[in-house]
Amino acid sequence: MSAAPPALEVLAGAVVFTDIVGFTEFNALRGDAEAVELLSIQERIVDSMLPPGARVVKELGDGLLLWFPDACSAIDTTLRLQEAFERESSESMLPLWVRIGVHWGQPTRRRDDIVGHDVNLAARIVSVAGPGEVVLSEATIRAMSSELPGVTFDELGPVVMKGIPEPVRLYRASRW
Amino acid sequence: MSGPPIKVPLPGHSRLRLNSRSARVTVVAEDRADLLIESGIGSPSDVEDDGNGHFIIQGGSKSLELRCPAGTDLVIGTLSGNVEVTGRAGAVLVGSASGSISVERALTADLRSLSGNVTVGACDGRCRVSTKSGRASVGRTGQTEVSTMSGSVSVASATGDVRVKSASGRVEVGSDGRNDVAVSTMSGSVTVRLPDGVRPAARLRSLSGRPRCDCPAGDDCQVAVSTMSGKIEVVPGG
Repeated sequence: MSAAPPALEVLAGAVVFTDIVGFTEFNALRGDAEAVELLSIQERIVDSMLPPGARVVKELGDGLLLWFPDACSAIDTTLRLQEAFERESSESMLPLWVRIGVHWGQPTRRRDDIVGHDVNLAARIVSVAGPGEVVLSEATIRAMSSELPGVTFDELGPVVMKGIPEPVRLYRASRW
Repeated sequence: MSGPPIKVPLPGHSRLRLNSRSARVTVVAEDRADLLIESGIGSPSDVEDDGNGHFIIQGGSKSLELRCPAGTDLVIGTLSGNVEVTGRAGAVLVGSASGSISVERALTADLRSLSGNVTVGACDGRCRVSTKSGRASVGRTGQTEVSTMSGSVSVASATGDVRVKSASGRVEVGSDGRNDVAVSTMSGSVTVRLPDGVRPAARLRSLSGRPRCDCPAGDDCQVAVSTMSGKIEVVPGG
């Protein structure tokens, strides 16, 4: 008789994907050493800004999968990350052009990783974002426990994404 | 299955929300008061009215073709279907994975396609375009932001600030010389064209290319261009 499968641990939280735009081109132009330097700078900035409870789930080449237990914290942190990336890019010639996608959902924990439909959806959302943008799902805005002063959300429309049955209403977050 | 054309009365300024996966979406914004759906839906019940001037239309497998009043706001999402908006629309938002997007004229525009080309004839206000590998071409526009990975970028005539980020595509920007231009690329060449007599404050940085500014130095506007390896030109005659 086989043992019962272990209970799945479901985590409610914000799933965040980041992606450096043009990393492959940069690597081809400037070589591995500068590409690694770019990744190190991204890592340093992200590590210095993650609030308590949030974590880097894993690195995905030039991108990151992050998890936040709080929607407001995820939005505020990702906007501050974009501001820091922009500062870094303008001060150096290093193109830290990062796009960020955020989705609030209930991924399943698998050892240190998270998996599930909501992770897949967040991965699709980041592909919609342009460099410097934070694009998030309507579910993320609904999960906010309070308002974020100075943060606006511009609708991007119902975005139809490959592998996702229904159009997803997406927004761009920005700080004014 | 598409039936006969369907007329929907509109309460005034309206917003149409159109979804399609692979079918083409065509909108004509013209001098009329109602919404005419020429093809793409089966019955009037396929048009959802939220009572606040917002209408949701879910397209099927056939091309969605409709006519609406000039100035109508449009929110359009497709997976692979091309989107074409002709006439004078209001605020236009379009998101597509691989479909091409063409907007003749809009009040404001936010258009993004991963692999499709994006073309804007004229945009009175803010214009944002984002593509991954598609070409971005903007005609007459106000404040403009464009990002591409490998597609080329052309902004013919901007009367607001212009910001462009491109990994490897060629970038050409025409500005009125009263607003700022900022372009960052990795390997694409960049040409910024300003009207004769404009004296820009140019900050041109290239790691291996040779920046060239043929305009006299001054402070009429800021032109900031940085590239890893592409050629940079700031030239008069826009």
